Amino acid sequence: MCTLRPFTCKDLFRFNKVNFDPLTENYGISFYLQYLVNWPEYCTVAESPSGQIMGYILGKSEGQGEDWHGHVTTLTVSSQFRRLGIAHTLMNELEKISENQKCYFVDLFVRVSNSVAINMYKNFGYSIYRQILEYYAGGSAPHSPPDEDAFDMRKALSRDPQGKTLVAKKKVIKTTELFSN
Amino acid sequence: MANKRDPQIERKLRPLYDALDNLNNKQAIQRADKLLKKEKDFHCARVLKALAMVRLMKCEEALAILEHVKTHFPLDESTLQAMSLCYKELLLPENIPELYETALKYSENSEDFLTQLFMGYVRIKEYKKQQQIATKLHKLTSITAYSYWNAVSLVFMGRDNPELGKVMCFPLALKIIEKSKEKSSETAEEVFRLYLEVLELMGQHERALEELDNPKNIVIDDRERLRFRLHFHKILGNVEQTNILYKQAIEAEADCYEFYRGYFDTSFSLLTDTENLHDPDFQVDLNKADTSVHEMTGLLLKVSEDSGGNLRGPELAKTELVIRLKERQIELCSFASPTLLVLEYVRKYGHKACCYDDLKLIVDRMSDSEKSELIGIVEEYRGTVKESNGTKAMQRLATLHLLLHHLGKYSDLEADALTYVLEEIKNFHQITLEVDLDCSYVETFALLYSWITCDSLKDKAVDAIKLLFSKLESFPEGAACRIIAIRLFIYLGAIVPADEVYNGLDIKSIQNDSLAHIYYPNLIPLGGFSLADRLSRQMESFYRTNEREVLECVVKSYLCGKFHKVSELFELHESLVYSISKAVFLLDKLWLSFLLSSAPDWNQIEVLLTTVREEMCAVRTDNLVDNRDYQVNDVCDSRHTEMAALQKSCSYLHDTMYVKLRHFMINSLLVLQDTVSTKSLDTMDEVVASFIRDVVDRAAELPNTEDYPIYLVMSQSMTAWTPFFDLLITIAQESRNYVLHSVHGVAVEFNLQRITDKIAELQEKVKGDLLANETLSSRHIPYLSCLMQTVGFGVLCVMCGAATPQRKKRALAESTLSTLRETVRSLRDLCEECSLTATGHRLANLNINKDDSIDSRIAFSIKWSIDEIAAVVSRILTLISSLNCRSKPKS
Repeated sequence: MCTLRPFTCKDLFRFNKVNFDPLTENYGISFYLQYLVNWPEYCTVAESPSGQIMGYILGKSEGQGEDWHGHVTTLTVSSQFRRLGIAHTLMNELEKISENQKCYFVDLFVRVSNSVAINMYKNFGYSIYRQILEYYAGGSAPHSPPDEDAFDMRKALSRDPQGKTLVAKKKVIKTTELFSN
Repeated sequence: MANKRDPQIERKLRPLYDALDNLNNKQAIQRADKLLKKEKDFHCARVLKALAMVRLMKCEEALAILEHVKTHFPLDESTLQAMSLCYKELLLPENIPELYETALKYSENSEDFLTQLFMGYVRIKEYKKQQQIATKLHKLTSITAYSYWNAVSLVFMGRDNPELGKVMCFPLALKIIEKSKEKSSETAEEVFRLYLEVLELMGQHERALEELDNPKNIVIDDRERLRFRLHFHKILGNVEQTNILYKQAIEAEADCYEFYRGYFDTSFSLLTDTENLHDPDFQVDLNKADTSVHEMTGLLLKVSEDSGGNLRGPELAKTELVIRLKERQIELCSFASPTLLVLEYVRKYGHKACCYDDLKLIVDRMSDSEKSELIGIVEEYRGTVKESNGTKAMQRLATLHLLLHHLGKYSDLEADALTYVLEEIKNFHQITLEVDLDCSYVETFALLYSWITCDSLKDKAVDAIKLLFSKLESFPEGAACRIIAIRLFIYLGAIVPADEVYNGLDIKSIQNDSLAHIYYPNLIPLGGFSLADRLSRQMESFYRTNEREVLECVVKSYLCGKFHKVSELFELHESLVYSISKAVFLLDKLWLSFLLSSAPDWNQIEVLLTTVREEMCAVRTDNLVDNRDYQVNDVCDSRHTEMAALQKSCSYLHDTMYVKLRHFMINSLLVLQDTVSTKSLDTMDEVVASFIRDVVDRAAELPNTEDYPIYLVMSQSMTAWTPFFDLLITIAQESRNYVLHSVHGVAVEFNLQRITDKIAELQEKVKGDLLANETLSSRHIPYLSCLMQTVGFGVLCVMCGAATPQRKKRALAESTLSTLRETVRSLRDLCEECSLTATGHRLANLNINKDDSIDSRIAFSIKWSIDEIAAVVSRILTLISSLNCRSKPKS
């Protein structure tokens, strides 16, 4: 039971309850604005009947040729509104937009330790495409967590009915290889 | 940084760019100097040196360099871009257009320069000029994008001047868009949005609807299309059409509650022609009502059935429909009573954490008798749930307790019954801590306990903190628990543990603007000067960087063709520039720079005054914007909903007054220092008059928060300042008169003794309040902080007005110094006395248990606050001593 609407600049002052979640990163303003300006259609908020932000998704479309795809940058739902299918609704929305943009697939990165999220994405039809070594940087402080690997998960869209884009040449890559592609 | 540039120059500049990119600004300056030594007219190197200076906060010197380079009319792209960057970082975007206007005189048709000039005007909202440049660009290149820049500029021009918009801007923009649309086979989404916007501005709503129905314009998704249709039909007052659209929307998306609300609103509006339900003569046409109710219930039953009863939307909508019908005294509905429907809803969805949030708006619409009935039903049901085990049962219990608290059940209980309820909640909290790892309802029980305690048993605040901490130990991520713990610590006057808990929230970036209100305003009143200083400095840099970034995003919106984001981004920019939190941070930073100067002596204060004078120009004190997020303060008891709604406006008033108070204090110092002529001192009258108008006269408007529950109480800083208003005015006026008399020889009466007498009088009063019955009331520490700041203000005023060493006449008399010294010493004695009292743990309203860590932390914090205040008092004494040395005649 939620209303989907575009993410707007004003939401930056109102998304605190969602961002209190320890696994949700708080970025600088320019990060959010980069998405709102370049890919506004990929930025959606789910709002409760009482007007609270239940969760949001930020994404983009990128790549060339058969690598043209939708990407989920951030997906988060407030703890109060979990287990209601909000994440699924938001993911469906992003996939719909990616379909409209004629993308081949949608991809996302997730911490290898985040089994809850990994299983959730599997339920949404995503599969592990490859593992990226030390993608998430740990902190430099004495007790901060170490670097962590990410799973690159993908779901093929209607433009790739054979699921060709789901087969990786290398199952494990370094972060540097990811950016050099 | 560099592109399309002379490779030879680029090679020379590379080390300089590298130093800047690596944030090594000092090295950048050295490298620039090296290049300039070889080639003194190397403008780009000079400008990059200025950029490094800007980043080292040497703004004046950087501006001088830029002015110098400007006189040479630079034309190369590297220099112009570097200069633009300097002006952006200096937050002087208004200086950029001039660069390109000059460059265009030499290269009239340069597309690059014209584009840069267009963006230069965009940053400063020069709509007319940007429109002219866009026209020129389009004529020159025939690129369609430029014609859209032209249309958007016209839209902004028209919005700025609606008359001109109506007759010229909007029709012209429409013509441009239509012409461009005709040329291309497919309309881009952004262009279509712009087209709709212009049609709306021209009042052509029917045409906008036609365009939305036109299959050629399938460029926006169905949801957006529906939103636009509803919007235009609402403007046109097409209730029937809107009703049909909502109905279709429900059929297509049965779980979107927004559609049900719209559907009910329009259905009832159609039923009564005019929705005037408070009219005593209001009569419902029963036949019409019957059909309408039949239709509404039919739809709800259908969508409910289609979804297999699994969607919350239609189920909740049934309750809302019944309540709305009851409000209108229409008894035609076949559904059960609202209370039974709510119970049914809880039975079905009570195990979901969102259930309470769903229901709270609905139950607020119930009549008092229905609410009483609901309390009975819910309590009965709770009895059966209590017998069950497992996660779902615990969440359901949490929902039921939330609902009962919302309905006011726990507000009317006798002490014994309330203690029983609290024990029960505490017990559930303990069970959930032990048996399950899902934190959401563990948090709910901890919050419930705290809310009820905060509301009814304020003396049990420490107990609530202990419970919250037991939750935080197992689940440190509980932000709601952290926020309420901060509130409770602040209520008890304990800023040190409040600071620790606040840090655990890991608040970053823009969150500091919207969330610092839960903690920051209490720092200075509770002696957290260095904490306030650190945060306010961080935030100064945050605003500086982000105001610039947002403007650059406006530019990007034009470049990406995302025109509908332009207004939104400008609004965000204004929200940052005029942020009330920003004003508080900046003024506190300036004020604290006087109180916390590393080596307090007159020379340093004089240097500070110069910096502060420059920085005050950037501080906005009027038309402030409130970006603060109050939704983080969960309110459960419906009796407090109104208070919570008032909290935002009251807090805005409070902080506006606080901003004016700080502005008055700093401005007074600046006026007193600037005593070149008697005329400059006349300004003091205006400064005092605006303080009286904006603060003193409005003090009565501040809400009495005594009845507020602790979790809604905002900063008390203005309440603590109120007794000092007269003294602040006296200090400013007497200091002004003293300067008039001693420096300018004007025959005015002055009496500095009046200041010290008044300080002594207030000190006695504060002493009485603080140390009544040899106990220390933790809530009175803000008065001690205000007293210290007032004394500090007094000393600084006297010094600013009289102590410029170059003017012998202005040297302070030894008798004045000695009186000031005595006053400050006696304040130091008072602090010492308070500190001793705090050390002895004789804290009023607190049952201190030395063995308990929470109690000890509170006691430690209160002593810490007093010691911090005492430390600043000592600095003030050192400052007076430095003046003493200066006023001694030179041998």
